[in-house]
Amino acid sequence: MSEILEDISPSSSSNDKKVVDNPFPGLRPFKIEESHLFFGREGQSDEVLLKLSKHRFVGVIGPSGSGKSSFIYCGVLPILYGGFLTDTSPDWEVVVTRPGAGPIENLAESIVSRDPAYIAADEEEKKIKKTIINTLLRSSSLGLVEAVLQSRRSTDKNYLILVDQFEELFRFKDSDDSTAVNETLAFVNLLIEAINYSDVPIYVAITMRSDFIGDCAQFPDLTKKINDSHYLIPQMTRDQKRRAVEGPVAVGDAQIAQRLVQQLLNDLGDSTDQLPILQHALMRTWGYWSKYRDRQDEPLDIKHYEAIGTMSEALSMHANEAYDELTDDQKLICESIFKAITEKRGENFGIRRPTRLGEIAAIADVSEEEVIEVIDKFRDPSRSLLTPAYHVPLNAKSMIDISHESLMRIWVRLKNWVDDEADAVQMYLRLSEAAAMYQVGKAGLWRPPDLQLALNWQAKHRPTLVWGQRYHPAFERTMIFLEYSKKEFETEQRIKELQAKRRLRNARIVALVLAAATVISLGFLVYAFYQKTIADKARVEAVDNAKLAEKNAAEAEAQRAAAEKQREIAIQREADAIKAEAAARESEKKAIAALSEAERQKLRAEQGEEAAKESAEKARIAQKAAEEQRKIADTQKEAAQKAKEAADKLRMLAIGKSMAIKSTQLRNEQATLKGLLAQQAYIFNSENGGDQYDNDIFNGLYYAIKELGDPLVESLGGHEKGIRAVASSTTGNNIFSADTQGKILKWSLKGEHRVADTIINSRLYHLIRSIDVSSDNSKLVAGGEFPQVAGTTYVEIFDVNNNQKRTISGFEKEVWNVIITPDDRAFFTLDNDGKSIKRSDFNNVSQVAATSVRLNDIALSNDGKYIVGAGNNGKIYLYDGNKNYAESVIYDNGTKVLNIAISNDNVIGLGDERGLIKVFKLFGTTSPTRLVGHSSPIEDLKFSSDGRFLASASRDKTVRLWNRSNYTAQPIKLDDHPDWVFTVAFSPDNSQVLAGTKEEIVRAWPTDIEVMADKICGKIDENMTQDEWDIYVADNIDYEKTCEQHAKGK
Amino acid sequence: MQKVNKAFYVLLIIVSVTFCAFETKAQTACTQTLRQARTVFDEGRIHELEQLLSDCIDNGFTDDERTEAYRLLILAHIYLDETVKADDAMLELLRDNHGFEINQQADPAELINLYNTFRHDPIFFWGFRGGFNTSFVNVIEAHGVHDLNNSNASYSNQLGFVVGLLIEKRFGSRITLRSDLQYIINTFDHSFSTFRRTDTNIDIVNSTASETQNSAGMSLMAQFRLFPEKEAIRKNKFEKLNPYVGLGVTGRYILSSALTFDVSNSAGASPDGASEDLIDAEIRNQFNPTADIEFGIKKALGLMYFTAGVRYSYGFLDITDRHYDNGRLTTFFGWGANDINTHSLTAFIGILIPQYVPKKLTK
Repeated sequence: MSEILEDISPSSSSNDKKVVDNPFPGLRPFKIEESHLFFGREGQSDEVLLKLSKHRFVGVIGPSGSGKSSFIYCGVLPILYGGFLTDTSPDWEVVVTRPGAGPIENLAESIVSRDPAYIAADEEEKKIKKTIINTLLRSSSLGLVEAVLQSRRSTDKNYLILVDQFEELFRFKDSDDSTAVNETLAFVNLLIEAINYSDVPIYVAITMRSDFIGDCAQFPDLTKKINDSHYLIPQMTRDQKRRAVEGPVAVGDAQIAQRLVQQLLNDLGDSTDQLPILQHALMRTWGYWSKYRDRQDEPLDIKHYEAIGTMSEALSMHANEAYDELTDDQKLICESIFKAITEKRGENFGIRRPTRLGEIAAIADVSEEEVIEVIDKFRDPSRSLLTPAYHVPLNAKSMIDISHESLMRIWVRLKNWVDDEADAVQMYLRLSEAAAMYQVGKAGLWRPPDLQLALNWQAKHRPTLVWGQRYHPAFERTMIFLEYSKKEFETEQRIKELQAKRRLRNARIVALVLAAATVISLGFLVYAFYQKTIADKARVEAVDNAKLAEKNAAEAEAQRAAAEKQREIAIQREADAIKAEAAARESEKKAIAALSEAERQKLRAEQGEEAAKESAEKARIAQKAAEEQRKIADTQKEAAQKAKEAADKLRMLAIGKSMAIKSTQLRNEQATLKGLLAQQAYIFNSENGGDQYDNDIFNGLYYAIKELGDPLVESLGGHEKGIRAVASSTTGNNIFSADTQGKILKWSLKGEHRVADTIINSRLYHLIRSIDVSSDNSKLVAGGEFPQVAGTTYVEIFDVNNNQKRTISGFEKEVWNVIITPDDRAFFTLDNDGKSIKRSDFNNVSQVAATSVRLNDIALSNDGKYIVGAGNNGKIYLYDGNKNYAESVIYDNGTKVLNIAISNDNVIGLGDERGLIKVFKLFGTTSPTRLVGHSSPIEDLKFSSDGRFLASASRDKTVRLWNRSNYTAQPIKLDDHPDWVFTVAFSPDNSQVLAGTKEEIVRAWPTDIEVMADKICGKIDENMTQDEWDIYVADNIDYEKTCEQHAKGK
Repeated sequence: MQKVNKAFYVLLIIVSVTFCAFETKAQTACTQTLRQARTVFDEGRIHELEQLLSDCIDNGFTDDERTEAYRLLILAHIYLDETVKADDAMLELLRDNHGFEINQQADPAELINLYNTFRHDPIFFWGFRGGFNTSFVNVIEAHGVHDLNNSNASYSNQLGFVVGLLIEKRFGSRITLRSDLQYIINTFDHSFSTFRRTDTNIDIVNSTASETQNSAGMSLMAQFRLFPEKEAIRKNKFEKLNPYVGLGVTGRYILSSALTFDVSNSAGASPDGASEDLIDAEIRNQFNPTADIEFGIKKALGLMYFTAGVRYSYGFLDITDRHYDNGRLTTFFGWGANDINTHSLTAFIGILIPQYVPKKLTK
């Protein structure tokens, strides 16, 4: 971005040769050493020098491509070096810099590379020196003065700071980077202070495009300087342009045909920004002429000019040459580069968009080296189609730009790319918009033709994250939306194909049947022909028989007389028939009367149907009201959560929780880190007095030890169908589970290992819905859908110790619930579609209560005196054993109650169809506590016998453990279930909770977080690295070992 | 007149297209409804399903979608303990989709138990079939007025046809009983030589008497399946053909038996042929029972079955009642009826159509 011009010394042999070879620079500006080739602006330098001398500042301003830089380099600087500036020393040192993306850094480099010591130094030293100057410049607004003073070698030396392309300060400014604004200001201040510092003669010249003059207004000091001293570069007259064409040709010791000069001037026209194009065309014409001229003294002529494609085509052809040199892979990269650094504005109007090399590499999804290789082709000194100039080394931060805007108008390929890119962006934006709408539920997935267009777009442009984020931040969401749309559509197509296949198969069947029928018919046809020939023969014979027939006719006459007699008998019969008909008519009349009666009945039935419809309408309105209630409940739930978040401001706890959550989101391969995060989260939580039953900490630990393969969280296998009953007593060490195919298993808990004994194997038609065990674990009662014998069904009693089974019959329909009394002497059941509560003393069965409505569940109080029932109508019924189980309503929930449980201290928990749980004291006066969390109906509720928890199982595939001492705390959410959870039970010591699911899986969950926390350190062998600590914990919290016994991770 | 016709056809097309468009739209909406129902079921809010699905079940689902919808609805009723509704929905499903089968491994026990309380197998099959046969003749004793020792008499078989209606009922997983009504045509030739006509004194060198019998038959057969019945998805390729062997009897009643002569004499001239019905002539017995053995396959085609096979029928009675008609056959052609048994081999193809009448079985 910057360069140092040594004292003018046209001795550089390589440059010399080049100048002689081709006197036209092309798109780049003239260099200082090319001033002998610079024609057309003679006499304009004086004014600039005068202003510079008077104000120590001059701004050379002009439109793009008007030759500002060339004018300064070749018109002004040579005179300056020649010492023609009066009032001051003739010894000048010129520092040329371009602001680029880092103006101060570039200025520092320009200054430091003036120093001969710097040029001689090695890389490391260069870097140090550069950093010193850079720091100096940034340290104060007098930094530039100090830097010049430091490197000043003689006292009467004048300094000219030439800031070329000053507008880059505004163009390359990264709008995302807030420091960029400050850097621009600092840079301007450096320049202004340097001018104002009278002790050291520092002069400043800037060249700037006139369309950026407005941007300067934000710096008042700079504005003042520009107002005092600026030079608006005049447009060249036709004569001056002619000199600019003919001069270099003459220097190059050649002639140019007048008609070519005229042609060039005509093609050039009046527009100001065409000078680089002219220079480029002349450079190409010269190159072509010097290579292909017919004879030595042939002048440059129109044919040479036309061969390179004239001004309108030359640039395009030149660019294509560069493009054709690329390999196929590089061509793709090239396309990405040019698409990245251009942008379409309006209908037919492309603008430049300088972009960092690193970003381009990310967009093209290739390495920076590959990009640099391609860029170098285009910024070759003979081409200069891209900036920075060829000698400037490129790195990730280099700003890549098109050297001249007209390239976008002239190079057809680039024009197409710009259009193509614009189309791609448009498609991307449409897609992003659709994805956003889809996310909020305002639009659906895409389908063809939109989907197909989007897929084509994806295949063609292969959009990368960086590319996408230039235009719309939600790139990943957009691509997921597209992917999802595609999958959804493919699934639909597959279903259609299957249907088509099925239709085809049906058609085949029909064809087969028809074919079979055809074959059979053909057989008949053949046979018919065969019969016909036989018949023909028979006909001949029949003629012979005719004669015989005549003889028989006479005999027939006699028969006719006999027949006559028969006819008379028939007439008699007919009379009888008429009588019978009259009787039939009578019957018909009766039938008609019956029909009209039936019509009346039908009418009444229709009226009944009308009434039924009205009822349905009312029900629908009621349901709508219920829906509104649910919405209100949802908003209340949200408010509660927000309040909780606001309260939860303790940072360590927050970090702990976030770590626990992060740990659950880590991938399976990162099991060790997952464990460390969960363990550290646990440590933070417990050290900082967090909730000992915190859900996030729990889940973090659970998934970590699950990932580390700990047997504690392994599920209990052995069943073949869904499990609807698990049970345990409060003593001993056993848990029982029963599935819907009649299998019952007894689990012995040996630490974290569980061993199963089969009490009874699978049996068809033995769908067990409820089991209970006696307190000494010796008896198990199972009820459910069992075969009926003579209209009654039975429950099964198992002697657990020796697997003996017996049955007690006398139950109606299905047994939904079995509860053994606390004294183990009897059990209660709920049967007959929830309409009957029965009691059995293990021998006889008697009904204790016939319920007024269907009960969905019953529970028995700890003293065995009260039965509570969950009514299908939403009411809670109490059956008081002291009053012969008389029924009374103790609570009305309003919504269908599916489950009920009662704790040892007589607290009732109920779960309803909305997933809401309510808890209240039996015979208490306070209103129920509502436990909100489940999103689907509740399937089971259990209180732990130690009073710590209420466990709830739901069809939303979760079990929640509610902390009874703090119902407002978030419950532990156990969500690792494959399907609905039907049933839960606590282990006898309450250390585990067992959940039976609709699939054949019983899950085991520890209830104490500590149990899980102790396991992790034994399963891993190192601690977090410092980097991991900084990322997942915080870099301002001191590192501590998560597991004391392991070393810090490396 | 023609114009009116044209307008009518255009109107018909417009109405059909509009109807189809509404139909398609309804179906798309219902496809979405089903998708939603799956989600609702998965999330356990099954009490919402009945209302969600009812409209589309009545009208709008494709056949497969309706089956799935019923399945979801049945499961919802089961888990809501609405047994009557679950029974009703299962009955509707079985009436709607006769081929509905449960998956013993994957379906919940609740659904399997309910399904098994319904009669879901076809109560019987009916169908029709047809084929070709060929007859074999076994001579018990030869008769004739020609020189029996030098006649070189022989029988050769000819092609015949069979068509029939049949009805089948399964008993257990292997045994099937079948009864069918058949119309059978079978033909065989009887060739003999050496005879001098007394009226013309011409030597007849060769005579061929071609006999064609038209019979009605009714058969009863017990079939034994080589593989027991089981779920379609668990059958291998050969099991899917459902091969069987059958044993049975057929009572045939010969309606007519036409005998036609083709005679050539030594001079090369052909005298008048003659045709005679052997039933009218009381030469043949009308009742001809056979014992049958059959091998065949029944391949499912959608809900129907394609059947094919071969059957060998063994005629164990002598079908000749009288040996001479004492008329033209004896006098002109020197033909006498041999005592014979006829057997036949039949190859057939056909279609079997199951009749389902699903109902709840009482326990």
